[in-house]
Amino acid sequence: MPPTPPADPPTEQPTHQAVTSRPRTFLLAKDDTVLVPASLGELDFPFLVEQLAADPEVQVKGRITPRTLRAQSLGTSITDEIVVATMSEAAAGELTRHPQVILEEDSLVFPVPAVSPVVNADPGLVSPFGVSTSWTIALTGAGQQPVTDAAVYLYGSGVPAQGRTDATGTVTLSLTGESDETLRALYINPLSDYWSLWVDRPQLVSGTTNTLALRSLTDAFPGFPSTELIGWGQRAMRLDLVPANFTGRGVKVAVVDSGAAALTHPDLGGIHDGADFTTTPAGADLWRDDTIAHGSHCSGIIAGARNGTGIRGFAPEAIMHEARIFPGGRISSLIDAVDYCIDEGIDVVNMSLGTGGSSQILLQKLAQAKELGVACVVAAGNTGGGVQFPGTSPDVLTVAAMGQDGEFPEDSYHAQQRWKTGQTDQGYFSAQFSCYGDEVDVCGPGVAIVSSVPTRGFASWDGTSMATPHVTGLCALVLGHHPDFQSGPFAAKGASRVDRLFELIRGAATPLRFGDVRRSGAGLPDAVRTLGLEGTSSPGAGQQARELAVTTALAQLHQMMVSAGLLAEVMTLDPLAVDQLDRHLTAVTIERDIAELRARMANAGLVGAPVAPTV
Amino acid sequence: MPKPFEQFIIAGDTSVIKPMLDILNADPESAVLSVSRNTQTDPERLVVSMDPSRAAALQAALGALVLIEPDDPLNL
Repeated sequence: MPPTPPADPPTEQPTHQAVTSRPRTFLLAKDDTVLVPASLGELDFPFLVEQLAADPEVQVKGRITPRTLRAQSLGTSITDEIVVATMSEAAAGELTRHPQVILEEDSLVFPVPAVSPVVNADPGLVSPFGVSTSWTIALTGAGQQPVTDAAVYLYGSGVPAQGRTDATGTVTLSLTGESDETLRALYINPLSDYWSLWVDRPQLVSGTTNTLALRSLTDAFPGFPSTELIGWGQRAMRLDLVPANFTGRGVKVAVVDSGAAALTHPDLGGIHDGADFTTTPAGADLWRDDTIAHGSHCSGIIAGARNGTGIRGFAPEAIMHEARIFPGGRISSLIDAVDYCIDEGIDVVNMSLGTGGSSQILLQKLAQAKELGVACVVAAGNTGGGVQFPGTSPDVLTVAAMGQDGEFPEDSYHAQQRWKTGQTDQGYFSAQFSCYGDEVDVCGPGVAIVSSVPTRGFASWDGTSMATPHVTGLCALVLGHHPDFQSGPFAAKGASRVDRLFELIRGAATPLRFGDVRRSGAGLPDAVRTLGLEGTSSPGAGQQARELAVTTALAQLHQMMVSAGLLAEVMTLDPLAVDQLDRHLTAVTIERDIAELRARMANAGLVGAPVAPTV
Repeated sequence: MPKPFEQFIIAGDTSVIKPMLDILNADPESAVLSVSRNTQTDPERLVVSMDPSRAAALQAALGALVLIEPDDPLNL
């Protein structure tokens, strides 16, 4: 459902209304040094100013003209008259269309030391000048109830002030040397059940209580959580088109994270196994205590119960294991967790984590895990730079993050996550925070992902951490239901099984054109194609992979028939013949049929013993 | 003010790690935080808190026999 538009801007002191952005103040001047198309005509600047003064969306605050004759003689048309006016974004946008109009923001200036417009994380560099000003913010939600424990960040020129709302939904934040006019942004991140809120240049008033109403998740998803939600990411990966009996039953999935609220959350009640590595020795039951909520969120995406309420996971009947290493997770605890996964015979491991460091020991452990058939799916990282470790390991499947337009309110923080340098593809965009690089295998849904959080709530989060469990969940479905893993060479646990799994995920992905393939890898994984449920033409890599498989399989059959004397002469297989094939045949079914035919021919003595497949 | 200790992972063959564990346990300037053991209960991996220069000296002394790496924190 598309997000509801923001409420009208408040005309007086904001009380129980949405906080909107303050209009900006601009400097306006005429530049007659540029060429103007004849159709447009010369700009009549005094007339324009007259019109602006009459426009209710514009407030002309003053004019700056040269004060001396010398200044007038040295000036240009630009400096002859500068108008200072506060106006809406729409009015400003309209003005900039005329080539002779110069419009610049009348930016605030500060006493030295100069303050960078970006948030400076070093408090030592923040200006100590000025008095402290406080803003009180009260949050209300559904039915005017206070929203408690929401994180609130107020950005001035330096380090933001932050706090959490109390039992009355209120928090007071103080900044030094700032005023109502210098506030740059307000960010509210509720603990659960509401959308986040981001306001540029918030129209807050110090010394009073500014009451804001947050949007409930239910506003966007009617009936949720009483009725089950299939997330946009799951729909984008076409989980909704997968048969209901594909549940990942029996596949062992581990989530190396912060544990899961298995005792309290209805969508996580099916999780019965886990271990805690945050203490020495490892605790038995602490994995059920998810103080960060991150592991609960990831676990819901993978295996949220199919119970008609809340959220729906990819593989609700997978055997879930929680390997708790957060808070305080380090490489050593991750190694311990991988050891646990090996010992427990885990099939797929979700690692929504990373570090800027590296470790040969962990690399060796991940290689060992793969050799033993443990498939590790790892987040690319959220620092917006190169892929983080262990996403750089050659033995894992690395996942970047993307979002989709229309799946979140535009005043939520999710709207800030668009990678603005690139382009959108089918409404999808690369997430600005997503790490990227040649190591990225696929790109998963990772903006505005609604999933379970302790104790019984739901929250909409961003991150490659959220993209990764989408892929892990699909891996569980593939291992549980793809014919390749039910019998034959890939049924037994080992490196070739992991390779085959990753190859299927990549090969059936829908390519994404964000302007940099390092941000999307093979693209968005597709559940229907990966599971071999669709034989119709598909875009890009998936289609190519299938056509290659079909061609190779036909070549094998051709060779066998020639060997058996069933074909009189060797012919070159016409690649166009591929197009004549029944499109409902998938590579997998063809491979299986060829194997069966080969076995029958061998039994009939027409060819030698079956050979290992080459596809 | 005491030097800040950092956390390191030490891994290698149990024939090396076993005596190393004894040495580090006896070392007042190191603290063994955890020991991972193989199925034969022999130590194969240690997490040790020590001064970085001491870790570098150990790595230089033992060469390829062990791997000593910073036990970096992970981010979610």
